[in-house]
Amino acid sequence: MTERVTHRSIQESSLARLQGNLATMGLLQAQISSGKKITKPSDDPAGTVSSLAVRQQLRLNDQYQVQGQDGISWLNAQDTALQTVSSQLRAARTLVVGALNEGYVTDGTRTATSVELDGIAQTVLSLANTQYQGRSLFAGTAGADQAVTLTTAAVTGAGTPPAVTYAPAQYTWSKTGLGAGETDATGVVRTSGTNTPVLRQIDAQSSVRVDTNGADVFGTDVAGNGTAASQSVFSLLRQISDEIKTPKDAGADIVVDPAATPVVPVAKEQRLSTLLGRLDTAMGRVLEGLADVGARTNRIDHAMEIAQSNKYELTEQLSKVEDVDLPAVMIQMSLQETAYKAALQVTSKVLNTSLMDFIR
Amino acid sequence: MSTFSGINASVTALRAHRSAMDVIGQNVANVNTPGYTRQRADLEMLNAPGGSGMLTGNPVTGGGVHVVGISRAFDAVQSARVNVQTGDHALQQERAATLSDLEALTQEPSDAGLSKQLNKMWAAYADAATKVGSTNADGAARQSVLGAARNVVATLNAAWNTVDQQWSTTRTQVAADVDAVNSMASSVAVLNEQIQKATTTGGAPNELMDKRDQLVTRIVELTGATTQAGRNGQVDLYLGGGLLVQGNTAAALSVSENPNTMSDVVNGQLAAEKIASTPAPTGSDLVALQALVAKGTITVKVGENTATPLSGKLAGQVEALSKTLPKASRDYDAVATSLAQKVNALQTTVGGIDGNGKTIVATSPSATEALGTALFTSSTPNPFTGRITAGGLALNEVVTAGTLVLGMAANGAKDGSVAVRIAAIGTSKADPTSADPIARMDPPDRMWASYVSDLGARSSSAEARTSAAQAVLTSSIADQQGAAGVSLDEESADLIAAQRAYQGAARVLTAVDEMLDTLINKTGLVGR
Repeated sequence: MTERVTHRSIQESSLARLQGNLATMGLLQAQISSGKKITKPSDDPAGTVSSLAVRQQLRLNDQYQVQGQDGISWLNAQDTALQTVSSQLRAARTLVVGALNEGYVTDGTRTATSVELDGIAQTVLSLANTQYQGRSLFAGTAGADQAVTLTTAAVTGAGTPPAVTYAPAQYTWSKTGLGAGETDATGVVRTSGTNTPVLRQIDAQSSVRVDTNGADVFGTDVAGNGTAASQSVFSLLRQISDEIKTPKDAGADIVVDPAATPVVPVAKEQRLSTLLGRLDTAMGRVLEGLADVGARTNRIDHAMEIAQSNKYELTEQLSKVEDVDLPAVMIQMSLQETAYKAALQVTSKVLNTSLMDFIR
Repeated sequence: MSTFSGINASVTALRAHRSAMDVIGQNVANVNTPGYTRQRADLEMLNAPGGSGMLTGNPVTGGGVHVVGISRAFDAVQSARVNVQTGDHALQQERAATLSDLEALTQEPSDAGLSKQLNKMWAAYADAATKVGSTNADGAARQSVLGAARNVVATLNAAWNTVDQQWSTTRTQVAADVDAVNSMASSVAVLNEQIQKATTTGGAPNELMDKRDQLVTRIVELTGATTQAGRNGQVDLYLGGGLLVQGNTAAALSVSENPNTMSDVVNGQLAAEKIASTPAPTGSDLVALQALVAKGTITVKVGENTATPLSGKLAGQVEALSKTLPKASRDYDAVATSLAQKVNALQTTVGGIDGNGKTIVATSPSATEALGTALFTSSTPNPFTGRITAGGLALNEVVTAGTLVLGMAANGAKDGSVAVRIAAIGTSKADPTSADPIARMDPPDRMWASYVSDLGARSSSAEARTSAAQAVLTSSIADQQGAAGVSLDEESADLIAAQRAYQGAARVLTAVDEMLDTLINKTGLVGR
């Protein structure tokens, strides 16, 4: 406490206090008008750090949502393609069963059936090469334009096809990952080649594969195939078509098992039903692929739901860290205003009077 | 005892009180003058003339009153306290201002800050990873990666340049302040001399002293100099061990020519670190490094002696020039280095494939081949360490959307695994045990967050210290003003007292006059 008080000292100290009052008003005003509690890092250094962290989380969450959306589009495109393949194969099966039941009525019927089967084979092949935004759905990250291509045409011997020397066509898949016969990460020996998977990150820990390995769903061909279960559905459909094309008793028999020596001719019906069995296996693989696509879609859907609710939570968290509590600040502001007004009034009174006013 | 001595006494009283009223007039006139110290006419009674001769032994009254001097209500202790607080407050204020500028520069937390730009870039990479090989979308995604990277570079460049400018501005300000201090110091020396002359000739140099003390406070605010009272009312000024003003001589305050740019300071610091590192450099390397250290060190001199200002604006400025700003600049550099090295390492991975289907091979690419070239370059790498400065960071011109490496050739042309790994840099952690120096480095996002939080914490504590210093300063100024300031109430009362005393003296004069009139004119007229 000062011993002596003068007008100058009152002026100095009341100015300082008024300044302080006004500065607090300014701060509150800035908070109210910007709506932000933290306008610069020093307002709340710890809060700034959590604000930065929450913003990063929000960005990642948005990223997961974008990636998930993209993944769902990929999987939906595959679902459509595989559903169509499945229905096409069912149609093919009906044709084969029909051919088996009705026998080989006329040349015309056989040719029509065979042409229809060829058409189905073409459709399935083009479905296997389906692209989504310029990317092959069934070829992983491989750069080739086509996921699967005909590399060796069916070979028939001289004379009326199919000859004894008939060899089914071979289709080759693009391959950037493991080859057939190699062991994958889970210790399973691959029966077909793989592609590097197309992955979409859907949360901090996990990525989901959004493509399908075509070789697994459509089967893969090996040299001299036609016997192995892994025969591709394209070459299988061609083989069935070729089988039906020839009259029952004309020409040589198709060798079902080229490895068997001596060559055992098999009756056409028996050969067709063997091929029908393989068609069923191929259909089974497509259905498995469909189920897998569905399961992965579900997984992404679930992750997206979580991401969406995370987004609300993070936004709320960010708001708690950064935004002002408006009612509280308004009350503070009006209190401050009252204090400021009182200070102004008192100061003006004190500084206004002196003994000068009271002497003549 | 003379018959007229009463007149004499009254006349001294009239003179003394008129003089007192003059002083009151001066006080009232200067009630609002900054730096004015109130004055008082010091009155003293006059002794009676020594008795002698035939009248010796009779009781004698005194000879009246006189003004022995006009004193100044100056409290040296309070004044010194105000000076110390002024210096401290100026230092804290300068410190807080520097940090506040730096923190405003970060623009955090907001959507304009670097963290947002970095986030956008990582998101662009993550997006590009999903679009590799897509018709139409691929090129656009690659372009947005380049665009986002360009924004990051621009943000870093602008911030770094602003820090650099802040440094230059402060440097210019130091020179201007030093000039002001020198001119004020010579004024103080001149005033000291005048005060000494006035004092020794018996004058009252009160106004000169007020003027000088005001200049001294201003010098203290700028330099944090300490005061010491000298002889004959003079004041000496010490600055960090040097004698800035002694009596009527002033020494020149000067700041070293070097460093001229912030790079000089940063290079000096890096050179000092290099000297301290193992193996220690020797021979001509050491000489060159020492020259850089000398060039990067700012020194303050008073006359020929090196002085270290401990408070005042100058201390704050020297601190900003040699520590705060270069540290901020180096923190920006660290962010830029981490960003550039981490992204470049992946961008130039052997086996990576670009948008044109070209693969990076182990042998170095030819000069015209953009493949495998770093995305971020620096036009002005720091010496010794090859660190990239945030100011010189640039996007490599030869890297185009097509030559951006996003995948590994082994995974096929439509692979985006490299982009995925680059996008993950933002959330990665430093691996302190790794043999790879790049992996030991924190990601730019993390460095930036710690820079911002550190800056925020320092700025907030500097602000708190400034307001504390402000409060202390205000109260000591109030104390000083209380003692030295003019109170109109007091002056009014004193004025009445002086006025009444003057009237009284005049009344005494009248009484004596009447007495003399009776004695001279009425004596011998009884019964007439």
